[in-house]
Amino acid sequence: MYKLLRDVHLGLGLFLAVGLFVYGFSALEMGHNFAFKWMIKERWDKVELQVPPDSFHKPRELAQLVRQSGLHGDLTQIQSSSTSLTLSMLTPGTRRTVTMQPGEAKAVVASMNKGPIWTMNRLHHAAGLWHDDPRLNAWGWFVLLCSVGLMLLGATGTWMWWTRLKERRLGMMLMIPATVVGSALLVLIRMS
Amino acid sequence: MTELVKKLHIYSGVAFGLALFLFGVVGVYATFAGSPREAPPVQGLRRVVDYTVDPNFTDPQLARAVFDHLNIPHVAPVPDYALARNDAGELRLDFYGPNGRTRVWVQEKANKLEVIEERNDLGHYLINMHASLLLHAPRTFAVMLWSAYVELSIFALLGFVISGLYLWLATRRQLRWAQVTFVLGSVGSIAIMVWVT
Repeated sequence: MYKLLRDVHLGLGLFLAVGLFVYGFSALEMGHNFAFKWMIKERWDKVELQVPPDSFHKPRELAQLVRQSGLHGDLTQIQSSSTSLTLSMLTPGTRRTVTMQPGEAKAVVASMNKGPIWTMNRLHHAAGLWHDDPRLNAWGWFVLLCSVGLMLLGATGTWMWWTRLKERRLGMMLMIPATVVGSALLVLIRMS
Repeated sequence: MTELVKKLHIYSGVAFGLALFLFGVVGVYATFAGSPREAPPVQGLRRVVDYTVDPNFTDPQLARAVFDHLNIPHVAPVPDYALARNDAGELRLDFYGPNGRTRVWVQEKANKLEVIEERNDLGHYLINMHASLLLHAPRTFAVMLWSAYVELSIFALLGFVISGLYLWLATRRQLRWAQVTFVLGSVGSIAIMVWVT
Protein backbone atom coordinates (compact mmCIF):
# COMPACT_ATOMS: atom_id res chain seq x y z
CA MET A 1 0.00 0.00 0.00
CA TYR A 2 2.79 2.41 0.97
CA LYS A 3 4.63 1.77 -2.27
CA LEU A 4 1.49 2.34 -4.34
CA LEU A 5 0.70 5.62 -2.55
CA ARG A 6 4.32 6.74 -2.86
CA ASP A 7 4.16 6.18 -6.64
CA VAL A 8 0.77 7.95 -6.92
CA HIS A 9 2.17 10.88 -4.90
CA LEU A 10 5.29 11.07 -7.08
CA GLY A 11 3.40 10.71 -10.33
CA LEU A 12 0.80 13.35 -9.44
CA GLY A 13 3.44 15.74 -8.17
CA LEU A 14 5.55 15.39 -11.30
CA PHE A 15 2.58 15.69 -13.65
CA LEU A 16 1.25 18.82 -11.91
CA ALA A 17 4.58 20.42 -10.95
CA VAL A 18 4.44 23.21 -13.53
CA GLY A 19 0.73 23.93 -12.97
CA LEU A 20 1.08 24.08 -9.19
CA PHE A 21 4.21 26.21 -9.48
CA VAL A 22 2.34 28.71 -11.65
CA TYR A 23 -0.49 28.82 -9.07
CA GLY A 24 2.00 29.37 -6.25
CA PHE A 25 4.03 31.95 -8.13
CA SER A 26 0.97 33.94 -9.23
CA ALA A 27 -0.35 33.90 -5.64
CA LEU A 28 3.02 35.22 -4.52
CA GLU A 29 2.72 37.99 -7.10
CA MET A 30 -0.76 38.91 -5.89
CA GLY A 31 0.39 39.11 -2.30
CA HIS A 32 3.45 41.21 -3.15
CA ASN A 33 2.35 42.99 -6.32
CA PHE A 34 4.39 46.10 -5.47
CA ALA A 35 7.53 44.05 -6.20
CA PHE A 36 6.32 42.95 -9.63
CA LYS A 37 4.83 46.20 -10.96
CA TRP A 38 7.91 47.03 -13.02
CA MET A 39 7.40 43.82 -14.98
CA ILE A 40 3.82 44.62 -15.94
CA LYS A 41 3.63 46.81 -19.03
CA GLU A 42 0.80 47.31 -21.49
CA ARG A 43 1.40 46.24 -25.06
CA TRP A 44 -1.15 46.96 -27.78
CA ASP A 45 -1.72 45.27 -31.13
CA LYS A 46 -4.29 46.20 -33.71
CA VAL A 47 -5.49 44.19 -36.72
CA GLU A 48 -8.26 44.58 -39.27
CA LEU A 49 -10.39 41.61 -40.20
CA GLN A 50 -12.53 41.22 -43.30
CA VAL A 51 -16.04 40.28 -42.15
CA PRO A 52 -19.49 40.28 -43.82
CA PRO A 53 -21.24 43.66 -43.35
CA ASP A 54 -24.26 41.99 -41.73
CA SER A 55 -21.99 40.90 -38.83
CA PHE A 56 -22.79 44.35 -37.44
CA HIS A 57 -26.20 42.99 -36.47
CA LYS A 58 -24.90 39.61 -35.27
CA PRO A 59 -22.38 40.27 -32.48
CA ARG A 60 -22.06 36.64 -31.42
CA GLU A 61 -21.32 35.56 -34.97
CA LEU A 62 -18.79 38.39 -35.22
CA ALA A 63 -17.09 37.10 -32.07
CA GLN A 64 -16.97 33.66 -33.65
CA LEU A 65 -15.36 35.10 -36.80
CA VAL A 66 -12.77 36.87 -34.66
CA ARG A 67 -12.01 33.58 -32.90
CA GLN A 68 -11.71 31.75 -36.22
CA SER A 69 -9.02 34.25 -37.22
CA GLY A 70 -6.95 33.05 -34.26
CA LEU A 71 -7.81 35.96 -31.95
CA HIS A 72 -9.76 33.99 -29.40
CA GLY A 73 -11.43 35.15 -26.19
CA ASP A 74 -14.55 35.00 -24.10
CA LEU A 75 -17.23 37.45 -25.19
CA THR A 76 -17.87 39.48 -22.03
CA GLN A 77 -19.64 42.61 -23.25
CA ILE A 78 -21.63 43.82 -26.27
CA GLN A 79 -22.21 47.55 -26.75
CA SER A 80 -24.39 48.31 -29.71
CA SER A 81 -25.80 51.53 -31.15
CA SER A 82 -26.94 52.59 -34.62
CA THR A 83 -23.46 53.94 -35.40
CA SER A 84 -21.10 51.40 -33.87
CA LEU A 85 -20.74 47.93 -32.41
CA THR A 86 -18.14 47.21 -29.74
CA LEU A 87 -17.36 43.78 -28.33
CA SER A 88 -15.13 43.03 -25.38
CA MET A 89 -13.37 39.67 -25.50
CA LEU A 90 -11.13 38.37 -22.74
CA THR A 91 -8.51 35.71 -22.49
CA PRO A 92 -6.37 35.30 -19.38
CA GLY A 93 -3.94 38.20 -19.84
CA THR A 94 -5.33 39.74 -23.02
CA ARG A 95 -8.26 42.08 -23.48
CA ARG A 96 -9.59 42.50 -26.99
CA THR A 97 -11.86 45.30 -28.15
CA VAL A 98 -13.61 44.61 -31.44
CA THR A 99 -15.20 47.60 -33.17
CA MET A 100 -17.30 47.70 -36.29
CA GLN A 101 -19.23 50.41 -38.14
CA PRO A 102 -22.50 49.75 -40.01
CA GLY A 103 -22.17 48.95 -43.71
CA GLU A 104 -18.44 48.20 -43.50
CA ALA A 105 -16.92 44.82 -44.34
CA LYS A 106 -14.21 45.04 -41.71
CA ALA A 107 -13.80 44.88 -37.96
CA VAL A 108 -10.91 46.34 -36.01
CA VAL A 109 -9.52 44.17 -33.20
CA ALA A 110 -7.35 45.99 -30.64
CA SER A 111 -5.60 43.61 -28.23
CA MET A 112 -3.94 44.67 -24.98
CA ASN A 113 -1.58 42.38 -23.10
CA LYS A 114 0.39 43.15 -19.95
CA GLY A 115 3.07 40.47 -20.20
CA PRO A 116 3.69 37.04 -18.66
CA ILE A 117 3.43 37.98 -14.97
CA TRP A 118 0.01 39.53 -15.49
CA THR A 119 -1.01 36.60 -17.69
CA MET A 120 -0.18 34.18 -14.86
CA ASN A 121 -2.22 36.35 -12.50
CA ARG A 122 -5.21 36.12 -14.86
CA LEU A 123 -4.72 32.38 -15.38
CA HIS A 124 -4.96 32.00 -11.60
CA HIS A 125 -8.34 33.75 -11.68
CA ALA A 126 -9.74 31.88 -14.69
CA ALA A 127 -11.89 28.82 -13.99
CA GLY A 128 -15.19 27.23 -14.89
CA LEU A 129 -16.75 25.33 -17.75
CA TRP A 130 -19.32 27.96 -18.75
CA HIS A 131 -17.28 30.02 -21.21
CA ASP A 132 -18.25 30.54 -24.83
CA ASP A 133 -14.57 30.25 -25.78
CA PRO A 134 -13.75 26.51 -25.83
CA ARG A 135 -10.11 27.21 -24.90
CA LEU A 136 -11.20 28.72 -21.60
CA ASN A 137 -13.35 25.66 -20.92
CA ALA A 138 -10.29 23.48 -21.58
CA TRP A 139 -8.45 25.60 -19.02
CA GLY A 140 -11.37 25.04 -16.63
CA TRP A 141 -10.76 21.27 -16.88
CA PHE A 142 -7.08 21.85 -16.21
CA VAL A 143 -7.98 23.87 -13.08
CA LEU A 144 -10.15 20.98 -11.93
CA LEU A 145 -7.28 18.54 -12.55
CA CYS A 146 -4.86 20.69 -10.52
CA SER A 147 -7.41 21.12 -7.70
CA VAL A 148 -8.26 17.43 -7.38
CA GLY A 149 -4.59 16.59 -7.81
CA LEU A 150 -3.62 18.94 -5.00
CA MET A 151 -6.13 17.30 -2.66
CA LEU A 152 -4.92 13.84 -3.65
CA LEU A 153 -1.31 14.91 -3.08
CA GLY A 154 -2.35 16.06 0.40
CA ALA A 155 -4.25 12.84 1.14
CA THR A 156 -1.49 10.51 -0.07
CA GLY A 157 1.18 12.61 1.64
CA THR A 158 -0.73 12.57 4.92
CA TRP A 159 -1.17 8.81 4.71
CA MET A 160 2.53 8.25 4.07
CA TRP A 161 3.50 10.61 6.89
CA TRP A 162 1.26 8.69 9.30
CA THR A 163 2.97 5.42 8.47
CA ARG A 164 6.41 6.91 9.15
CA LEU A 165 6.68 6.59 12.91
CA LYS A 166 9.83 8.71 13.08
CA GLU A 167 8.04 11.86 11.91
CA ARG A 168 4.66 11.22 13.51
CA ARG A 169 5.21 12.94 16.84
CA LEU A 170 6.64 16.24 15.61
CA GLY A 171 4.21 16.16 12.70
CA MET A 172 1.28 15.89 15.12
CA MET A 173 2.69 18.84 17.06
CA LEU A 174 2.56 20.89 13.87
CA MET A 175 -0.61 19.53 12.33
CA ILE A 176 -2.99 19.65 15.29
CA PRO A 177 -2.48 23.32 16.25
CA ALA A 178 -2.39 24.48 12.61
CA THR A 179 -5.53 22.54 11.70
CA VAL A 180 -7.47 23.37 14.87
CA VAL A 181 -6.61 27.09 14.85
CA GLY A 182 -7.08 27.35 11.08
CA SER A 183 -10.47 25.60 11.18
CA ALA A 184 -11.53 27.70 14.16
CA LEU A 185 -10.63 30.89 12.29
CA LEU A 186 -12.58 29.72 9.24
CA VAL A 187 -15.66 29.14 11.41
CA LEU A 188 -15.28 32.23 13.61
CA ILE A 189 -14.82 34.67 10.73
CA ARG A 190 -17.83 33.16 8.96
CA MET A 191 -19.99 33.38 12.08
CA SER A 192 -19.18 37.02 12.84
CA MET B 1 20.79 16.92 2.69
CA THR B 2 18.16 14.63 1.16
CA GLU B 3 16.93 13.59 4.60
CA LEU B 4 16.64 17.25 5.66
CA VAL B 5 14.69 18.18 2.52
CA LYS B 6 12.43 15.17 3.05
CA LYS B 7 11.67 16.24 6.62
CA LEU B 8 10.93 19.82 5.53
CA HIS B 9 8.65 18.47 2.79
CA ILE B 10 6.76 16.27 5.25
CA TYR B 11 6.49 18.77 8.11
CA SER B 12 5.35 21.66 5.94
CA GLY B 13 2.82 19.29 4.40
CA VAL B 14 1.19 18.50 7.70
CA ALA B 15 1.41 22.11 8.93
CA PHE B 16 -0.13 23.70 5.83
CA GLY B 17 -2.35 20.81 4.76
CA LEU B 18 -5.53 22.65 5.73
CA ALA B 19 -4.81 25.64 3.48
CA LEU B 20 -3.72 23.45 0.59
CA PHE B 21 -6.87 21.35 0.96
CA LEU B 22 -8.86 24.59 0.90
CA PHE B 23 -7.06 25.66 -2.30
CA GLY B 24 -8.17 22.39 -3.87
CA VAL B 25 -11.77 22.73 -2.67
CA VAL B 26 -11.96 26.27 -4.02
CA GLY B 27 -10.67 25.13 -7.41
CA VAL B 28 -13.36 22.43 -7.59
CA TYR B 29 -16.04 24.91 -6.48
CA ALA B 30 -14.90 27.52 -9.04
CA THR B 31 -15.11 24.88 -11.76
CA PHE B 32 -18.78 24.15 -11.16
CA ALA B 33 -20.04 27.45 -9.69
CA GLY B 34 -21.19 28.77 -13.06
CA SER B 35 -20.72 32.17 -14.62
CA PRO B 36 -20.57 35.06 -12.15
CA ARG B 37 -22.38 37.15 -14.76
CA GLU B 38 -25.40 34.87 -14.50
CA ALA B 39 -25.37 34.53 -10.72
CA PRO B 40 -28.50 35.87 -9.01
CA PRO B 41 -27.87 39.10 -7.09
CA VAL B 42 -27.18 38.65 -3.40
CA GLN B 43 -30.16 39.72 -1.33
CA GLY B 44 -29.10 42.43 1.09
CA LEU B 45 -30.25 42.81 4.67
CA ARG B 46 -31.21 46.46 5.15
CA ARG B 47 -31.15 48.48 8.35
CA VAL B 48 -31.07 52.18 9.22
CA VAL B 49 -28.77 53.61 11.86
CA ASP B 50 -28.88 57.06 13.44
CA TYR B 51 -25.72 59.02 12.71
CA THR B 52 -24.93 62.73 12.89
CA VAL B 53 -22.44 63.84 10.28
CA ASP B 54 -19.79 66.38 11.23
CA PRO B 55 -20.20 69.12 8.56
CA ASN B 56 -16.47 69.86 8.61
CA PHE B 57 -15.50 66.37 7.48
CA THR B 58 -14.14 65.69 4.01
CA ASP B 59 -15.41 62.53 2.30
CA PRO B 60 -12.37 60.44 3.30
CA GLN B 61 -12.71 61.61 6.92
CA LEU B 62 -16.42 60.83 6.87
CA ALA B 63 -15.74 57.38 5.42
CA ARG B 64 -13.29 56.66 8.22
CA ALA B 65 -15.70 57.99 10.87
CA VAL B 66 -18.53 55.77 9.56
CA PHE B 67 -16.17 52.80 9.46
CA ASP B 68 -15.26 53.37 13.13
CA HIS B 69 -18.89 54.01 14.12
CA LEU B 70 -20.40 50.90 12.52
CA ASN B 71 -17.56 48.59 13.54
CA ILE B 72 -18.57 45.94 10.97
CA PRO B 73 -16.61 42.76 11.67
CA HIS B 74 -13.74 41.81 9.35
CA VAL B 75 -14.10 44.45 6.65
CA ALA B 76 -11.54 46.88 5.28
CA PRO B 77 -11.96 50.68 5.24
CA VAL B 78 -13.07 52.17 1.93
CA PRO B 79 -10.09 53.46 -0.06
CA ASP B 80 -10.34 57.10 -1.17
CA TYR B 81 -10.53 56.20 -4.87
CA ALA B 82 -13.70 54.16 -4.24
CA LEU B 83 -15.66 56.99 -2.62
CA ALA B 84 -18.67 58.06 -4.67
CA ARG B 85 -21.89 60.03 -4.31
CA ASN B 86 -25.25 59.37 -5.96
CA ASP B 87 -27.50 61.94 -7.65
CA ALA B 88 -29.05 62.79 -4.28
CA GLY B 89 -25.62 63.64 -2.91
CA GLU B 90 -25.46 60.65 -0.57
CA LEU B 91 -21.99 59.25 0.01
CA ARG B 92 -21.71 55.55 -0.91
CA LEU B 93 -19.34 53.41 1.10
CA ASP B 94 -18.67 49.78 0.14
CA PHE B 95 -16.94 47.79 2.85
CA TYR B 96 -15.57 44.45 1.67
CA GLY B 97 -14.65 41.46 3.78
CA PRO B 98 -14.56 37.68 3.42
CA ASN B 99 -18.27 37.44 4.23
CA GLY B 100 -19.28 39.81 1.46
CA ARG B 101 -20.02 43.48 0.94
CA THR B 102 -21.66 45.95 3.27
CA ARG B 103 -22.93 49.01 1.39
CA VAL B 104 -23.62 52.16 3.38
CA TRP B 105 -25.43 55.24 2.11
CA VAL B 106 -24.66 58.29 4.26
CA GLN B 107 -27.86 60.33 4.41
CA GLU B 108 -26.45 63.54 5.83
CA LYS B 109 -29.67 65.58 5.78
CA ALA B 110 -31.63 62.89 7.59
CA ASN B 111 -28.73 62.10 9.97
CA LYS B 112 -29.03 58.42 9.05
CA LEU B 113 -26.94 55.65 7.65
CA GLU B 114 -28.64 53.12 5.40
CA VAL B 115 -26.73 49.87 5.82
CA ILE B 116 -27.21 47.00 3.36
CA GLU B 117 -25.38 43.79 4.26
CA GLU B 118 -24.88 41.43 1.31
CA ARG B 119 -23.64 38.19 2.80
CA ASN B 120 -22.16 35.83 0.25
CA ASP B 121 -22.67 32.07 0.14
CA LEU B 122 -20.29 29.54 1.67
CA GLY B 123 -18.52 28.89 -1.64
CA HIS B 124 -17.70 32.54 -2.20
CA TYR B 125 -16.70 32.87 1.44
CA LEU B 126 -14.15 30.07 0.93
CA ILE B 127 -12.95 31.72 -2.29
CA ASN B 128 -12.36 34.94 -0.36
CA MET B 129 -10.61 33.10 2.45
CA HIS B 130 -8.26 31.26 0.10
CA ALA B 131 -7.35 34.65 -1.42
CA SER B 132 -6.96 36.43 1.90
CA LEU B 133 -3.42 37.86 1.80
CA LEU B 134 -1.71 40.15 4.29
CA LEU B 135 -1.31 42.98 1.79
CA HIS B 136 -5.06 43.38 1.21
CA ALA B 137 -6.68 41.78 4.25
CA PRO B 138 -8.94 43.71 6.64
CA ARG B 139 -6.91 44.67 9.70
CA THR B 140 -8.59 42.48 12.28
CA PHE B 141 -6.66 39.95 14.34
CA ALA B 142 -8.53 36.87 13.13
CA VAL B 143 -8.29 37.76 9.45
CA MET B 144 -4.64 38.82 9.75
CA LEU B 145 -3.78 35.55 11.49
CA TRP B 146 -5.57 33.55 8.80
CA SER B 147 -3.93 35.64 6.06
CA ALA B 148 -0.50 34.95 7.53
CA TYR B 149 -1.30 31.24 7.40
CA VAL B 150 -2.42 31.49 3.76
CA GLU B 151 0.65 33.55 2.89
CA LEU B 152 2.96 30.94 4.41
CA SER B 153 1.01 28.21 2.63
CA ILE B 154 1.82 29.85 -0.71
CA PHE B 155 5.51 29.64 0.10
CA ALA B 156 4.93 26.05 1.23
CA LEU B 157 3.27 25.22 -2.10
CA LEU B 158 6.25 26.58 -4.02
CA GLY B 159 8.53 24.76 -1.60
CA PHE B 160 6.68 21.46 -2.21
CA VAL B 161 7.23 21.72 -5.94
CA ILE B 162 10.93 22.49 -5.59
CA SER B 163 11.65 20.03 -2.77
CA GLY B 164 9.51 17.34 -4.44
CA LEU B 165 11.52 17.66 -7.66
CA TYR B 166 14.74 17.58 -5.64
CA LEU B 167 13.67 14.43 -3.78
CA TRP B 168 12.72 12.73 -7.03
CA LEU B 169 16.04 13.59 -8.66
CA ALA B 170 18.02 12.64 -5.57
CA THR B 171 16.38 9.30 -4.90
CA ARG B 172 14.33 7.96 -7.81
CA ARG B 173 15.37 9.78 -10.95
CA GLN B 174 16.05 6.55 -12.86
CA LEU B 175 12.33 5.63 -12.93
CA ARG B 176 11.34 5.76 -16.60
CA TRP B 177 7.60 6.23 -15.94
CA ALA B 178 8.37 9.18 -13.64
CA GLN B 179 10.51 10.85 -16.29
CA VAL B 180 7.76 10.41 -18.88
CA THR B 181 5.13 11.72 -16.44
CA PHE B 182 7.18 14.81 -15.67
CA VAL B 183 7.83 15.61 -19.33
CA LEU B 184 4.20 14.99 -20.32
CA GLY B 185 2.84 17.07 -17.43
CA SER B 186 5.26 19.95 -17.94
CA VAL B 187 4.88 20.14 -21.71
CA GLY B 188 1.10 19.73 -21.43
CA SER B 189 0.79 22.43 -18.75
CA ILE B 190 2.91 24.94 -20.64
CA ALA B 191 1.11 24.13 -23.89
CA ILE B 192 -2.35 24.71 -22.44
CA MET B 193 -1.22 27.95 -20.77
CA VAL B 194 0.14 29.30 -24.05
CA TRP B 195 -2.87 28.05 -26.02
CA VAL B 196 -5.45 29.59 -23.68
CA THR B 197 -3.73 32.97 -23.45
